[in-house]
Amino acid sequence: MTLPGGVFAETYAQDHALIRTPGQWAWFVAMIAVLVLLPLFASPRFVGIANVIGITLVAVVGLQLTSGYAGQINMGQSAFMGVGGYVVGALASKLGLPFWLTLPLGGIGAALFGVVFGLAALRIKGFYLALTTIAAQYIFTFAMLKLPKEWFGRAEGLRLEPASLGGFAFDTDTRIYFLVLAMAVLMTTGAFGLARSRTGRAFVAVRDNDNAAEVIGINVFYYKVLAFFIGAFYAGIAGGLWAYYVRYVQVDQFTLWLSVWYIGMLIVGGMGSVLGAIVGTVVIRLLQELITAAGPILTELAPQLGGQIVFASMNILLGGLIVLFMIFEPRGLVHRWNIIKESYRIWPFPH
Amino acid sequence: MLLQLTNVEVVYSDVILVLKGINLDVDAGRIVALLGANGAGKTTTLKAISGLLRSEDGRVTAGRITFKGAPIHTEEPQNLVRKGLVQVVEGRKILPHMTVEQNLLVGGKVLKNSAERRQMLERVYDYFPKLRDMRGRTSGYLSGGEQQMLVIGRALMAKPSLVLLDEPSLGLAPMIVAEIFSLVRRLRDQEGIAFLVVEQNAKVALGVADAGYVMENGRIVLFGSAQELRDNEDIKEFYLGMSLSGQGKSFKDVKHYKRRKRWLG
Amino acid sequence: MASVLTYLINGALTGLLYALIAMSFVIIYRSARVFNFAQGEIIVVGAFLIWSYVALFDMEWWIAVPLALVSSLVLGLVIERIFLRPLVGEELFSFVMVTIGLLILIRGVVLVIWGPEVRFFPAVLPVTAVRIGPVVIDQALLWGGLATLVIAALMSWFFNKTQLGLEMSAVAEDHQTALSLGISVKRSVAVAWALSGVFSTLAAIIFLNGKGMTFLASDIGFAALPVALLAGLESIGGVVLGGLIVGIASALAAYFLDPVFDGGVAAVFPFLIMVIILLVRPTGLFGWKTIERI
Repeated sequence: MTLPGGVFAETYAQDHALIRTPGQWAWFVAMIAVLVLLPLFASPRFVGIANVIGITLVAVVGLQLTSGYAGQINMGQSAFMGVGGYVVGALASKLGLPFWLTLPLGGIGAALFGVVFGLAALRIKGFYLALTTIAAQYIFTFAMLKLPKEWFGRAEGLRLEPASLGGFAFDTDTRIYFLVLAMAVLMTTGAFGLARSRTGRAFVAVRDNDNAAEVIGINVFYYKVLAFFIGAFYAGIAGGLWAYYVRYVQVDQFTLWLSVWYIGMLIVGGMGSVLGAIVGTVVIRLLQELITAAGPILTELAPQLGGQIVFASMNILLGGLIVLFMIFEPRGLVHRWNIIKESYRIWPFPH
Repeated sequence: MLLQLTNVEVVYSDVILVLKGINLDVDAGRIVALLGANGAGKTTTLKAISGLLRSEDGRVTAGRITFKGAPIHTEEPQNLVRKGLVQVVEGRKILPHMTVEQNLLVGGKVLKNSAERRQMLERVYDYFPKLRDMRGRTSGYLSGGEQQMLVIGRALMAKPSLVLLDEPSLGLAPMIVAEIFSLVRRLRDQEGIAFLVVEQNAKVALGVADAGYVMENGRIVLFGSAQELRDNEDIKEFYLGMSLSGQGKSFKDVKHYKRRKRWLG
Repeated sequence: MASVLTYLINGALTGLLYALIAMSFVIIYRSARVFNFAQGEIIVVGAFLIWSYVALFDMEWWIAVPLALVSSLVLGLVIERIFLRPLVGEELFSFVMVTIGLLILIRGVVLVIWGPEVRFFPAVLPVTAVRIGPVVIDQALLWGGLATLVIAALMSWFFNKTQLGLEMSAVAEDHQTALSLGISVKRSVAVAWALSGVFSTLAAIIFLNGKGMTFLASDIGFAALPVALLAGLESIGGVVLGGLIVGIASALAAYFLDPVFDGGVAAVFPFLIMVIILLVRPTGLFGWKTIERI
């Protein structure tokens, strides 16, 4: 990555740093300030949207770690999220555990479910493995509908009380927003750190050529399983947050379509970087909200569909976006942004 | 003049200039060797001729390539095979899950009907008796030498007038290499097929070729008849590993640090 | 409850229906190396086309069906030309993602054109069930199963014995090698997509015959996935065997386990079978094993 002119690293610490110039620090602090102060100047509806974005972000960042970094395409992330949500729901509503216990446990529960598919990676490779993760969705749906009612509520799902810390209950959109924000920042920071660590490099090695990685001493199987474990853990946390946000967990909330949308967000943002996951999630979710907001206008255009026009339009939009991106910019928005930055920095030279 | 390249320039991805004005001729029924170190642009030259550049985001941006008098640098690869120009890509790209016979039959795609294909199949088996013994075997499990014979046989099925051979000796034992090159000579003598052979093993290539070109960094730096090249001091020093005395390399006599390559002018 | 034999035979026939759909996957994969996630949606489009021709344009079914087959053939060609041709030379992942994008896109388009209501699919095949001894068989499934067997035999012969089929297999192995042999990769891929369009519409006729359908019918595309994977994505003959295995096993599982689990076993069982078989044979029962020379 090229730095602005005149910026050099003089110590190892400087070289490793994510944020290197005072300018970048300023942007970073400003962004954090905006995020924290959001509820003050945004409408309640927008805070709700921010909640959904934050929750989706955690799941998609996890997916990026599994699929973008380690190259294990995972089409069951929504199922993993569902497992997390159900575990949290069950622990919270049946055992009354507090959120700071249930969330990690939900993450672990989802991670263990994910590991099952990671173990399949010992035998099943690449493409077939991706398609096997679709099985996760069907198995999840079947399990949640058939396991005893006392555990997971079957078709009726589970209801939760709001998360609470001491006497403070996260029972409004704004209040849960801070919980979601804290978790999102925490998990994303962790992802940045993981990507730059030894594990992250091992992931990339496994993605690029797992035979070569094995030969140079990377335990490929361990890292493939770890990729699923971590990705599913993130999904579990996201599922738990969802459970506390909507306060209702049910199988139909975690579908194969949702898993596909998550992959779509990665494509649009750019596979292979945490920033790509963030960009993709924000862009797609905002576009979804835009279409929902434009709902009344769209309904006028096609009255025979009624409310379905919104759903249909979202599909056309996302499907169209994915196709366009794959044809014109398969590396996603982040790549395009990097090119723009480079072109700006070295203008008027072409390269 | 069967094949003629005139001032050919090739660019990859719109920014990487790989061939910087190549001039090359291959006469009918001759074996021409194209020598050079890694990255000189030899495979790119072959791909420019056979039209496979497009699938790697490459383009001929200047110059002309003519085959049998007609320009071909904008032709699609499949049409060139019909005209008698076949490339054997490097790396012994057999169709691994298909049998030997199926591989050969696919090579005969441009022939008119199955009778003609059967006929060519028998002729190819005559040249490669080992292949006849293995006709039903899955080709992915063949040894390197057998696979190389298979890809050359597959190219023959198309009744070519010119075969572009890309690094046939890659990864093969010296005895097998000798076998393959003697086969190339036989095909030139008995079928009149011209060969443009890209090789890093200069000794073997010059042993069988009629003429040769040496490439470096996308340019032709030396050309001549095979005998001229074999006798050329620079070729001997840099490609054949012989010092001035003509013996094997004695490190006492190493003079390359004293002598620059003459073609660098 | 109906007899075990009924379950078994209907299960086998359902498996053959899945096999037909799986064949669409396999044909495209075998020539273009692309896994067409949008296959289910193409099935639905074929189905809606037949419905439209019959219900909106008042055609007789024996005109509507061939017309729909031709339409879906054209649809396959159009999709290949517009969405997949520009990606030639990109890595495999791009192709997969485009078909996922198509999956979503086509669903949206189908919804906009034909709406969410339940439509009644014309009864092209006889609707009454046939009784052979103690066994009751759905006639649509019966004729469909027979058709599948015939088509599978034809396709197997085509890919292994005919010149064009061998060329398409060569394209499946390696596009560059195929090009260097004079094979038109574009044409092979286009043929594959056209064929899969036709098979999809045939499958639609079989499983929707005389029933109500909505845009959600595309889910059968995913349901056929286990059969395609389990057989191995390159094997035509294997698909039939895979279909029979999955169909019979799921039917038996449903017969014994439905009472225990309150139904729904038949939907999830194929996936369980798939995972288990892939663990034992990672490229499917008959798929092309990766021949890696390290």
